[in-house]
Order: sequence, then structure tokens, then C-alpha cells
Amino acid sequence: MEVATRIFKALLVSLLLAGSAYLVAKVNLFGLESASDRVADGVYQRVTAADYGADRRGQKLISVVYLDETSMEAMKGYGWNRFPPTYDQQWQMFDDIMQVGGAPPTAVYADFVYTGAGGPNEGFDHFIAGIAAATKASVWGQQPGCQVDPLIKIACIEAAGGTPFIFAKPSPGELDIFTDTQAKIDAVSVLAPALVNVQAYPMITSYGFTPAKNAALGVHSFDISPALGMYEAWCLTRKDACGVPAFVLLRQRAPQALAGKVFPATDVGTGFSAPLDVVWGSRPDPDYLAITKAVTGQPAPCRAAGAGWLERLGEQLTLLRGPATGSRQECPYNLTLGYDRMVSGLGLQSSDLQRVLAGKLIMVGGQFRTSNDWVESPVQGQAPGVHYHAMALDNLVEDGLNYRRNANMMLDSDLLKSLLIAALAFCGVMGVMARNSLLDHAIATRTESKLRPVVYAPLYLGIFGTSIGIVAMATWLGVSLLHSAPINWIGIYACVLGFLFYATRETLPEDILGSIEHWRWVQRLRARLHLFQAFLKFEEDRLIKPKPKPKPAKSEGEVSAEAPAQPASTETPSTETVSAKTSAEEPPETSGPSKETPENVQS
Amino acid sequence: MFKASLIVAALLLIPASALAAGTVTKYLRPTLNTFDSHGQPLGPVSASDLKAPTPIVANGVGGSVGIIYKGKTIFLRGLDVQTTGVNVACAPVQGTARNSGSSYAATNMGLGGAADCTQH
Repeated sequence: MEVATRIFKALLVSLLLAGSAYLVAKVNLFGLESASDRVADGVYQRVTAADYGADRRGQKLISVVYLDETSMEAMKGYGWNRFPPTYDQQWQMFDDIMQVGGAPPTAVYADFVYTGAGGPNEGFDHFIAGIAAATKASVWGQQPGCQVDPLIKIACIEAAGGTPFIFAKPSPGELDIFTDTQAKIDAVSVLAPALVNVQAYPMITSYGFTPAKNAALGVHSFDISPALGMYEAWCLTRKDACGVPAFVLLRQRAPQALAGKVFPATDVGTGFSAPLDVVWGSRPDPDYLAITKAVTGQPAPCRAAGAGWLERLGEQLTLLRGPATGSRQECPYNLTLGYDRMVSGLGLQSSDLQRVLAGKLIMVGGQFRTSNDWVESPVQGQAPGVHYHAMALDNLVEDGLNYRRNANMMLDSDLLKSLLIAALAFCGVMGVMARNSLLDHAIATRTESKLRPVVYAPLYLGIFGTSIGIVAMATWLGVSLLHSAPINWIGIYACVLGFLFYATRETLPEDILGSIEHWRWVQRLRARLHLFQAFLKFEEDRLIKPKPKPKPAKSEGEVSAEAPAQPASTETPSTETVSAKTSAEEPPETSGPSKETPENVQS
Repeated sequence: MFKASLIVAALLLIPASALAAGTVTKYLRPTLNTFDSHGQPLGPVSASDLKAPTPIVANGVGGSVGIIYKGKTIFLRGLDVQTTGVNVACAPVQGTARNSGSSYAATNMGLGGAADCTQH
């Protein structure tokens, strides 16, 4: 019966703790919960970044071509004397990307938003004609079956023998504008929302608009993310269509759609319903390192490729570095080349350009310091937005349908975390209870001194080690098997270990130090600790007044005459004060090691 | 008179030649965009109208390749031509040369841009 009561109490305590944790998580006070979620995810990613993409499948496929301030300055030599460049010049860039690799890319994503509102559209017709020729829009552009949704549009482009071009657009959910320029681009290519300031990378976005509003805003049933569009384009070139049933269906439907048949909107099922938790890799592309070495004669000053998770964990613990700090920074994961470097050709061989462009998935974007299109990469630090799309695409190429889901968007992860906390707290309380039972037994048999070295150390190691291990295991299992973002392991550790330390705050130091108290340096250490404790209590005497000894009942006047003047704040002691005082005056009832402190001996 | 103009032309070309070396051996596009030394477009030129091989006489802004065409120096994109004998020295870009603490530094690190290279 007594055992059952203890277990019930342990259960109650752990549920209380879990309930509090759940409440704190739900309230998300000061955004602490969501912030700690991000920190936990970020640290996990930094620790495991070197293990991402073991076969480098995505890395071999994806290249980033960028424009930045330095590029724009260099491009002045080629008539790029205004910003943004004219449509003519931009088409020249896309044409270069299509031509100079020796073979066209598999697909191109341009992380530039064209709205046509910035001034005269110099060369816009040339731009549109170039894109239309690249995507073979003359074949599919007039077929209504190819306009049903963006996925069938990409399938139609490939079936027509074109190269899919995907352009960024503002999210229709945020901006209620669809300009003529966008409509013309939409007619010859695919538009995908640019996903600015998103915490999780959505795969498919349904806005819930009416058909009329969908048509007005250029939404074809739903929108896809740039990464999903590029992934589909790549998968449709593969015999197995990456094992995605929807892509197999699209490949079958596309020729019929080109022939005039109209299918309902593609049902991608649950495969891509969850948003992606973008995983950032750290090992730079060997080809990038080789090209850099060939061009500059020196190795790229990137972080070493072989840095494993253990080394990274040590770095995180010792605060040696955060993301992208220090002289040896993380180079970008995907092969990256400035457009100006491509145009000048300085030091580059045609084989280099072939490696960057031919048959690849090309992500074109800006990395202008003055723009706001930057994202926080846990591995590289501030990264241009185009790298966010590139990494999301890389995740899809690496993991396919098993991409890492953002758990916070999928289910009540707070409940999951709270249950884990409850389970761990329950085990912890049971462990502490086991310790007390052992002690009771040892006192009864007068063998308590033997307990210390043999039982206590393994017991505490077991309690804390098991808690740490279970959280680590749950985190790893969630990521590896459930393909979800890491749970908030930092918050869970803080909660569980904080609770365990609190529960054992009296017994742990006594049990552990008591085991080795015969060592001289331990005795000195304990003496110092007591001095330190006394120092910390410097205000306690003032705040907690000794409880007056009970006296025989007297008249009210006599009591007030004897009592010294009290500060207003201490006239009515709080419950906590009384509780603390009581515990200070009344030593614990348990006999044994905990009573043998120097304070007790002195008293 | 003709000889004198040749000498003057040669003297004018010497400083530019001193800055550049190498030869354009092939034109990679049927039509090439051309520019002046400041990057102003001079219009397209058919590759068949250009001599190959032809010496590189100057380097323009952004690493453009200068050749003589109809007695004038025109500049072509390095991307559009195949060259030989061009000595390029590209400085490896260090993190400190860019904004540290961001992958902007790393993105450009090592390879850098055209501005990090010189031709001689």
C-alpha cells in the first residue's frame, strides 16, 4: 500500500511538472518557447551538419548563380550600368545559363520578383520571348490542361521538350496584386511564392480563395514552393520519378494535357502536406574546392570537411564558435558562382562551367547586402535567401518524401514534450525514492556508510545519465525515424534536469561528497562551500526574523511593549518565509549522512 | 605617311599591350556583344567578321577582353571567347576581406568575383 502511495505521489508530481511545462509552452511567454525551439533546432543542426548528405546527391545537382554588389560593379564592363539591369540584360544572363554549360540545365529558378512596376520595361518582349523559347511555351501555353496547377504545368514543359523556368512572386496570401508583367511571365513559365520570412518551408500552399480570386491573382488551384517545383522537374527526368506517385501520374498526364485533355488538379496526397524543416549541410562541394584551388592556387579557406558531430558538440559546449564565426567559416553547401565571374571567365575552364550548369538545377538569386532577402542559417549564419531555397531543394533530393518535417506545424509537439518530461520526472522521482528506501534500510541495518561508494554514485549517475540519454535518444529517433524537426531538447533538458537537481538538492551533495569526505581536499572544499553558503545568506538574517518562542498568554499591551519595532515589510511574514524559517530551525528528520554536516556539528 | 600612322598606332597600342597578354583563339557564339573600354555597348558583331587567332590588347572593366577590330579596340565578354596564354592571378578571398559573421563572406570565399582577379 505504501509503495502504491509513493508511486501515485511520484506520478502526481511528474504530471504536475508536465502540466506546468505544457502551460508555459502554450502561453509562450515572451516568445521564450518558440525561441528555445529554434535554438534547439539550430544547435542540433550545427552538431550534425557534417553528417548531412553523405552521398552528396543534391550537392552534385544544384548550383547557385548569384548577383551581388561586387558583381554589379564588374558587370559595368558589359553595359550593366543601371539597377536593376534591363530585361534584355537579364535575359542575356538566363541565356548564358542555358547555353554556356554545353547543355541546358534541368530547371532554373530565379529568386527575383518581377512586377513591372519599377520603370520602363526595356527589352521585356525580348525577355518573354527568350523564356517562352526556353520553356517551349508555344507548345503548352494554349492548352488549358497545362494550366490547371503548377505541377502539371512543369510536367507539360518537360513533355514539350522545354526547360522549366520558375520565377519568384509575392505570396498572394500577403499581397493582393497580380500585375500584367506577372501575368505575361506566368503565361510562359511557372510562378512560385518567394517565401519571405517563413519559419518553415511550405511545400504546397492552398489559399482557400474563390475560383474568381484565384484567377485574378494568377493562382492555378494552389501554389508550390520553388524547391518543390525544381524537385518535380528533376524527378520527371528520372525513370522512377523519385518514387513519388503524384509525379508518375503527372508524367502520364502531361502528353494528354498537351493534346488538349483537362485533368483535375493534381492530388499530391499527404506526401508534401507538411512544411519542410530545412536542414543545412556544412561540407562544401569538392568541386567548388577544386575550382577555387585551380583559380587561386590556394585552397579555399573553408572549414574542414571532416569535422564530425563529436567535435562540433564539443565546440557548442565550450562556446568556441557560433555559426559562421572565426577565420575558417563554413563555405556554402551548394556550388556557388558569381555571374560576373562566369561572364569574365577569369581562371575558369569550360569544364568548370559545364560542371556548374549542364543538366543541373540552377538557383539564380541576389545576395545584395542592402536587400532584406537574407535568412538565418544555423550553420552558415546569415545566408542569402536563394541559399534557403537551394538547401530546401537539396533536402528533397537527398531525402525525397522522407524530408524532415517541421514538427511544430504538424501536431501538438508541446504535448509530446510534456509527456516526455512527465515520463522522465516520474523516473527521476522513483530513483530518488529508491535512494531513500535504500537509506532507510541501511540505517535500520547500520550499514549506511557502505552505501555511499557502492550505491550513490551509480544511482545518481543512473538517474541523470538516463534522463540525458533518453532525451538524446528521443531527439535522434524523432529526426531519424519520424523525419521530424528535433524536439526542443534544450527546454526538456532544462526542465527535467532542473527538476532532478531540485529534488536532490539536499541529498546529492551530501551523498556524493560524503562518499569521499575522508579526503583532505574534500574536507577543505566543504569548509569553503559552507563559507560560501554563509556568505550568500548575508541578507537572510535581516529578512527572516527568528520566530519568537511561545510564551504564556499575556495581555495585548505587554506583547507589543516587548516586541521590537519591525519594518513594515516583515510584520506579516509570507507563507514562504514561515516555511523557510521552519525548515531552517527544524533539521530534517532523516538520520544519517545528511545530519553530519559541519553546521549541524557546530550547532 | 602610311608607315608613320602605323608607327603611331603601334605606339598607342603598346601601353595597352603591356597590360594584357594572350590570344583569342576562337569565338564561341555566332554573334558577340561588344563594348567600349567603359562598358558602353557598341553593338553586336558577327564572329565571322572577327579574326582568330588575334592578340588580346587590353583588359576592360570586369575582366572584359580587348581586341582590335577595324582599327579600334573593342571589348568582348570572356565567356564568349576561347583564349590561350592569358595569365590570371586571382587573390583568394579571405573572410576578413568581407563581412565576417555571415555566409556572405563564405559565399565569396576562395573563388571570389572578377574583381579579385588581375590579368597580366
